[in-house]
Amino acid sequence: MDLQRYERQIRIFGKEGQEKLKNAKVFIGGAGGLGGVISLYLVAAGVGRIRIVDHDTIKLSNLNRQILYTDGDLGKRKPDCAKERLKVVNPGVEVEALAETINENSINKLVANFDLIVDALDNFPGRYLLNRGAHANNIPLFHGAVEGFFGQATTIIPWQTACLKCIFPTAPTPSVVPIIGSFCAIIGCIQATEVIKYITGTGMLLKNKLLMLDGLNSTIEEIEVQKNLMCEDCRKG
Amino acid sequence: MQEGVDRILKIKVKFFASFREVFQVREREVDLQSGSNMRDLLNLLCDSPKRLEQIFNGGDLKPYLAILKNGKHIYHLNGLETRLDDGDTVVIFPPAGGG
Repeated sequence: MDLQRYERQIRIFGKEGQEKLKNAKVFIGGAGGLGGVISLYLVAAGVGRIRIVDHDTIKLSNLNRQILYTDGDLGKRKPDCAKERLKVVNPGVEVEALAETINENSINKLVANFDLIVDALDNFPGRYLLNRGAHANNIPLFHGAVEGFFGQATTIIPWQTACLKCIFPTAPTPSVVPIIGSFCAIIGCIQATEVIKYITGTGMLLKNKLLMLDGLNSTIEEIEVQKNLMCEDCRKG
Repeated sequence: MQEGVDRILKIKVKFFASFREVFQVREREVDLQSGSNMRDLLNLLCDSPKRLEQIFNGGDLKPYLAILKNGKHIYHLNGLETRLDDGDTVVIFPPAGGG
C-alpha cells in the first residue's frame, strides 16, 4: 500500500482504515454530474475496486458539471472516458466502467459481490431499481440527488433504515432539470464522504436522516425520516 | 383544557427547496382546530393560486411531492385525510431528481 499517498487520511482512520478502503468494492450507478465527483474522490481515497455504469455518450451540455470529461471527449461513451480519467488519478485502483443499462434484468447481476451501491443516477425509476437491488443483495445504498441549488442525501442500510421507497414513494416525472456543477459536486462529495465513513467505520452516517441542502440560502438541515413497515421494497417477510 | 372546549393544535411546518421561495418562509407554526387533517393544513397554507398549483392538481395532491408528518410520508399514512395532532412537524418539499 502506498502509505505516502494516503498519509493525510491515515491520520484520521489509521492504516487499518486505509486497508478497509483498499479491500472495498463500490458500485456507482451513473457517470454524470454526481457519479463523476463521487468516483474521483473514491478513487483518490484508494477504494480498491470501482464499478461505474452508464450507457450515455458525452454531450456538450454535460460539461458544466460532469468534470470527468472535456471537449475532446464529445460523442465518446462516458464509461470509456471515465475509466481513462480515473486510472490517471490513481493507477492503484481497479476501475471497471460498463456501458450498460440498469434495468430489472441487469440490476442484480451488476451489483452482485459489491459492498456498497452509490446512487448517482438522474431519475427516480432508476433509483428505485438500485433500492431494490440493494435490498435483494443486502448492500447499503448511498442516495443523492440535485436540482438547481437544492439537493438531498441519505444513507440506506437494507432492512434497517427507511429505504428510498419509504421516503419517496412516488417518482417525480422525469425531466431535464436545471443543475449547477458546483452544487452537484457538494451533493456528490457528501455521498462520497458517507461511503468513506461507512467503509472505515468513522463517524455517524445519515441513517434515517435526509440531509437537505439549500445552496440559495446556504443552509444544511437534517430531516428525521421513518421506515414504512408496509413498504413494498423493504417490508420484512 | 376544559371539557367541551375546542383544543388548538400547534403544528410546525418546514419548507425546503423551491417551496421556501413559493411560501416565502423556511418554517412557521400554524394553529388548527382539533380534529384537523392534512387537507385542512394545506388549504390554509395555500392562500394564493400560485401556492395552490404547487401543491394540488385539482382536488388531489401533486403525486411526487414529499409531505412528511413526523418523518413519515403521508402516502403511507392516510394521504390528505391524515389526522394532525398537537406538536406534529410537517415537512413539505419537491424532491430533487437530477444527478
